[in-house]
Amino acid sequence: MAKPKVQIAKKDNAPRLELAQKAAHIGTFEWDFQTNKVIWSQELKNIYGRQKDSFKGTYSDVANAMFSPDRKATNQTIQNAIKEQKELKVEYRIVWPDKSMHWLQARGKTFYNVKGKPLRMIGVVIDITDRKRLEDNLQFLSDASRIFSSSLDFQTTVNSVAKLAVPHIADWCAVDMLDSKGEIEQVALAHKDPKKIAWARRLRKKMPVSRDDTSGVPKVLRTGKPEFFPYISDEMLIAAVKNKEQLKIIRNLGISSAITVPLRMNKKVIGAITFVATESGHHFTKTDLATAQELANRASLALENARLYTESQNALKQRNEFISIASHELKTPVTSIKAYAQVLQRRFSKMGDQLAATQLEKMDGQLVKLTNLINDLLDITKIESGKIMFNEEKFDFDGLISEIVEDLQHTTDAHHIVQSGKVSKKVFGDKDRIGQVLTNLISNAIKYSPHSKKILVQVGTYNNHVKVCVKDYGVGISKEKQEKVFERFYRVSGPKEDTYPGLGLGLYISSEIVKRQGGRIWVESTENKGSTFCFTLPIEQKKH
Amino acid sequence: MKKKILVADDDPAIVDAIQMILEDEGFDVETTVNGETVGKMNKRHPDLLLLDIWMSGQDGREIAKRLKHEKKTKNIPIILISATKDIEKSAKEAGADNFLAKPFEIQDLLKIVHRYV
Repeated sequence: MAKPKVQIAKKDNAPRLELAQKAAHIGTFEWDFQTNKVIWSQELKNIYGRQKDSFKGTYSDVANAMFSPDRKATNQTIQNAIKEQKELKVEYRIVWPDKSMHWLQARGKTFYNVKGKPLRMIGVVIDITDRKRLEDNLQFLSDASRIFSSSLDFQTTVNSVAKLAVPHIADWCAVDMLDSKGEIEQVALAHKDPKKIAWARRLRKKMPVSRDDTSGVPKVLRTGKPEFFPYISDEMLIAAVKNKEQLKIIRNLGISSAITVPLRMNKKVIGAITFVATESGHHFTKTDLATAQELANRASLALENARLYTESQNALKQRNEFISIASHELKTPVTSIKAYAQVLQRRFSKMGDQLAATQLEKMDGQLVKLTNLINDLLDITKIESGKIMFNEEKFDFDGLISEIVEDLQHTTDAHHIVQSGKVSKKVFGDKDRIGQVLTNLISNAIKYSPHSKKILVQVGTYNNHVKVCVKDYGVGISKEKQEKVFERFYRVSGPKEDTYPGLGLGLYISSEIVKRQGGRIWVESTENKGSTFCFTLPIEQKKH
Repeated sequence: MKKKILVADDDPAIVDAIQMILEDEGFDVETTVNGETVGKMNKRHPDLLLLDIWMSGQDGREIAKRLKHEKKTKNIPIILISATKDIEKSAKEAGADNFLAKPFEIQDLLKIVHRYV
């Protein structure tokens, strides 16, 4: 009497087990190696997207369902687990009969006979598509953030991000922006097949998106709210298109799901990112929508940064242009004042009025200083806008040094500038610019050694380079300030923190000139003992 | 007869100052602040032309190019003057015989002038 009772209990249990499997979305299988038959539980059939009885019950049917790129590796993992008598754990993608893609995780245990021959495997299978999707989404967001922060050029980053989205996140990814006229312009479009991109671009030309369209990108641009279509039905397509031709094209595309999220800059909606699922048959979930919105937020931030950067660059450009024009304009009156001062000086000199002549000479000296300041400002704008030009030729380097030393000796009675060493060769470079560097270094040496007499200018060669050092015995520069002296606007202060006059541009300009002429510039100094500024330059023309 | 120098610059003060310098040096100086009149020299041609690169309405380099292309004027030496040092190269490409950066020293101006007249 006991036997039937058990059977009743078994029969009773089967639907319960099925229910439990269904609720937990766990499928079970049993694979008999002798007969090569595979038995699936009802829930496993659901997991594989099979209608009743469409499963043939063979391993080859199982393998055929696998996404072909995953098939080989998955089979290998299964065979290894059997051979090595290990528990099987494998993740792979399958394609449902409706062509949609799903991620599965299978775990299995193999049973063997006493001789170790495998007899059968039983196991469980779960659908991990959502988890994989989440992982993909998070990975996508993190990669996108990296791209956004890698460049301030929005066009470049947005293209990279759109490419990143396909095919794992969506089959298509498009970015539309409002142009200066308020028209919608597609700035990025990605699909794994470039032919399809070209096709979509042609299609877009034929059927331009209008700002007044009632759905999709235009609507998002108007409302600032995302559009989310987890399932797109044929009725929805019919409602969205304008004519039969459009309907035909859009039906062929086979859109299954779509998300459009707004892009903002300065709180205004200025564009939209669209994700579309087609051949994957994927249906976007709320998680996907959240990912898309998060991406749009990060893209908006990148846009904002790019905008601020462009704005600051423009401001800088404007400033440089202004200084350039102002310096140029300043030169016109300076030119005539200087010419008047010099001609009057000559006339007074001829007339024998030495006092007036000397005063005019002093005035001319001040005009030289003014001219140098204007030239420094001009040089800064040229360096910063990359417009500094070099007129390179072979020139007599030793002659240039002697000329400058002689000129500057005239400007000081307190110092004695001692020149030593020779290059004895012509040097290739911009004579005027190199002269400017040397003038700057010697002028500094004079300026910063008010209480010592000697300034040394040493010239030498090594390794096809000239080396020039200007040594003074003045105030010197502390270690921590030595690194800063070549920076823009930096000025060395004296012992009582009083600064010396000047714009703090000379050494910056000199270092930029030396660098651009292929050389090096540096300083060695001890406070209150003096400084030695040296620079090197290649003797020969650089080989391009 | 005194050598004649034509000075063309759109800034009257610069023209005036250069005229003083050159007249003190014994030259016959003719001036203009209008670039368009430079090419229309009907009277006696100057022996030297001092030309500002950025005349209002006219690019000094264009004037230089034109004069150097014409039979009657191609032998007149031209010195281009500009507040931009970097323009030296394009000045020479325009056919100018020499170049002077503003502001200049009288002695540099005279040195260059005496090279041609």
